[in-house]
Amino acid sequence: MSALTPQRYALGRAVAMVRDRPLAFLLGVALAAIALALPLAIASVLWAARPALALIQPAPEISVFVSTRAAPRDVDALKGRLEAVPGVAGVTVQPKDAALAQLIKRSGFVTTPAELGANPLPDVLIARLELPTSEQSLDAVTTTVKGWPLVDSVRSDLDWYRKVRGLGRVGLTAVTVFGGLVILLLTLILAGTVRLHAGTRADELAVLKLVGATPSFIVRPYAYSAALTLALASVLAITAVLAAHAALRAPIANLAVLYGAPFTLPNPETLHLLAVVAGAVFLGWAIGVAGARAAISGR
Amino acid sequence: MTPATPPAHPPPLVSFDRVAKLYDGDRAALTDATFTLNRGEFVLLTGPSGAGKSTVVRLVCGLEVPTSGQVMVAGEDIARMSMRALPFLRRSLGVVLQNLMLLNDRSVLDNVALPALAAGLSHAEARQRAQAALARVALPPDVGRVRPDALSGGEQQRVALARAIVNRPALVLADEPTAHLDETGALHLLQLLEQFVVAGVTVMMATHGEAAPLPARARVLHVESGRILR
Repeated sequence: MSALTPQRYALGRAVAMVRDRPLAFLLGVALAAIALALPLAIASVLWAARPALALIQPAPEISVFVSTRAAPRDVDALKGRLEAVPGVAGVTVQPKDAALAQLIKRSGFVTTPAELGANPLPDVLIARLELPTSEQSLDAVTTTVKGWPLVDSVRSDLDWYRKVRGLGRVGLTAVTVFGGLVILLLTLILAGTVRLHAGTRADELAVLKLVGATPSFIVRPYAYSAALTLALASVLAITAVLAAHAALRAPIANLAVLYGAPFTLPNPETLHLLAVVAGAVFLGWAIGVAGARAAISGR
Repeated sequence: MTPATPPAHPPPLVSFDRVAKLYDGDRAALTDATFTLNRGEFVLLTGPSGAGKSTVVRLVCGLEVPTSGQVMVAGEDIARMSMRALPFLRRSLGVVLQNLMLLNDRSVLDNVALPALAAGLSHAEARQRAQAALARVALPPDVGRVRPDALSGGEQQRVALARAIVNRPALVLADEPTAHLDETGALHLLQLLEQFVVAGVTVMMATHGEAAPLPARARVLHVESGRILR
C-alpha cells in the first residue's frame, strides 16, 4: 500500500484532463483571473490608501480655544491638565503665532505678523480621545474643560467622526459584498464546469466505482484540476494587479504631490499575495470536490 | 471457556433470499429469487435476454439494491452497506459487464492496473500485477502499450477479464462475456474461467449458453422471466 499512489494518480489524471481540453482550461483560467483581479485590485488600492485614510479618519478630537490673555506657561499648564483628563489619549498645541502665519500664507495677504500688531488668534489645544469612545464621554470631557479658567470655548468633532466612520463602514461593506459576490459567482461557475466535465466522463466514473475506488479517489483528479485552475488564475490576477500598480505608480505620485497628499501605490506585501494564492488553491480544491461529488452521487 | 469450533459448512459467498427487483416501480426484473453461491463454485446463470441475469449480477456487485428480500455478499447485506463501505466490498469482486467499459483514453496496461491503484497499491506494484493479469488471460505483453480500441473484440474481452482479476478477487462476475465472441473465442474464455475456479476463485457467469458448450463442472441456474429455475 502506498499513501502517495492516490495523489500521484489524481495529479496524473488532472494533467491529462487539462491536456485533453486545453482551450476550455485556458478559458476557465482567464475567466477566473478576471473575476479575481477585480476585488484584488480594489483591496490592494485600499491597502495602499491606509495612511491617507488614517489622516481623514482620526480619532475623535476636541479643540480647546485658550483665552488670548493666557501666557505661554498658562498654555503649558492647560495642556498638562488636559492630558490628565480620563479618556484623553494625547494633546497637541497649535500655537497662535503659527496659526496666524498659516492664515496669512493661505489668504494671500502680503503682510507680516509684525505689521498686524497684536495676534488676534488664540492658542488651541487639540485633545485626541482614546478609542473606542462614546458621545457621552466626549460630552463629559467637553463639559469639564469648558469650566476651566482661561478656556474661551471648546468644540468637538463627534459629528464629523461619526460621518467618516459611517462612510468607512459603508465602503468596507460594499467591498466585502462585492468580493463575496465575485467569489460566489466564481464558485458557481467553476462547480458547474466541474460537474459538467465529470458528466462527460461518466464511463470513467462508472468504471472507477465498479473496481472499488472510493469517492475520494474518484473526485481527487477534479479537485486537483479545479485547484490548478484557480492557482493559475490567482497568479494571473496578481500579475495583472502588479502590472497595473507599476503603470499607475508614477502618475499617482505626481497627482499626490500636486494635492500635497501622502498617497503612494506600493506593491501588496508578498505574504498577502501568497495568502491569496493559497486561498485560491483551497477554494479550487473545495469546488472540485463538491462539483465532482455531485456528479457521482448514487451507487 | 471452550474453544469455538469452526462451522461444519462455511457460509456461502453469495446468498439471495426471496429477492425481488422492480424497475420503474412495477416492472419486475427479478421475482422471489433464492439461491446460494458457495466458495470455489462455478455457477452459470443461463436464460434468454431480459430474463433477469444481468440484474442478478448488478445486485451482487451492489450496483442495484433489491426492492425486497436480502442479498448477502461475503457476509454483508448489500442493501444496508454504506456508500463508504461499498468500494471495499467491490475490491474483493472482479466484474466484467456486458459493456466492457474499457477506457480508450489510456493504455491497456493502465486500464488493467486501475483497480489495483484504486485499492492503494503503488504504481510499480499495480503495473506489475496488471502485466501478470494480462499474461494470465493469455495476452502478449506488448498489448499493454496499445489502447483498447485498437484490439479485437476477443482481446478486449480478455483485457476486461484481466482487469477483473488484477486485485485477486474472491468472486468473478461475468455478464455475457462470450456474447461478442465466436465459438473458439468463447471456448478459450470459458477455459480461462475454469482455470480460475481450479485456483480457488468463485465464478458466476451469465450467458445465453449458445456460443460454446457449457463447462461440465459448472452448476447451472436457469433464469426465466425473472424467476430462478433450477
